[in-house]
Amino acid sequence: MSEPCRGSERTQAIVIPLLSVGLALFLVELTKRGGLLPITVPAPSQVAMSFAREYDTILYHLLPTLQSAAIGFAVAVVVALALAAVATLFKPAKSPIYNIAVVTYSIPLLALSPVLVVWLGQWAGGAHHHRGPGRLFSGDRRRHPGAGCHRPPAEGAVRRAVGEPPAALLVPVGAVVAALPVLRPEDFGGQRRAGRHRGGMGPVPSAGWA
Amino acid sequence: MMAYALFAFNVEQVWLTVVTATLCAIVAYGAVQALERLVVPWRVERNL
Repeated sequence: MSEPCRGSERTQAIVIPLLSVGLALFLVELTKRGGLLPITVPAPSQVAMSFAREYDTILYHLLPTLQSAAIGFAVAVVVALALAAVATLFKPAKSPIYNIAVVTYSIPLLALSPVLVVWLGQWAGGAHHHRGPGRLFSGDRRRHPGAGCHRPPAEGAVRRAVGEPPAALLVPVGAVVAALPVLRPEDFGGQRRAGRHRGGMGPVPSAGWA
Repeated sequence: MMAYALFAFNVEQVWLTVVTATLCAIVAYGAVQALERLVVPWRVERNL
């Protein structure tokens, strides 16, 4: 009795969002053709035609960009889990780490990213990366054509330490994935309820005045 | 590519890169969710 209802709910959960997106795109297309949108907002059909025209360029840039994002994600996961382990095993470190994490999380990424680009340089995937924007940030490529993107010392040190992607990604991510099933909910301060954890981060650390 | 399109005022290409980045983010979220269900089976979703 309940199976058809579940199937219907799943269908609705897929169909309704797709219809909503399609309707929104249709309205934007009509509005653009009516001349009601500024030149900075193209019609969806123009974006689609741009994809048909430049899909090779998109694919060319996609892999190095995804590699860089995956490296950043892997580093973040390893550092975050290491800090969480320290905070769990060494109780006096819990409050400082928690406070630093909250302050760091509150910094807008939009403001931080240009600073990181200047500080760390352009994290390029290799000499084949960036036909376009790479030239904007690494001016020395004109003086050394074919030498690849300029890599700052910090990036070189990290790459020497962890190796070249994507093989280097398998080590930290694999270690994290292998370690997670071993952990129990109780390790994170949660309570086991009928074999299931209710989610969340466990009890909130008590404030100093509580 | 997005920065290049911005500086070149190539509006269609800017939106194309935005759409591509959004699709990549959706796929990445789905991959992480699948991985989470696999390796953290005791964590269940909460409905607000």
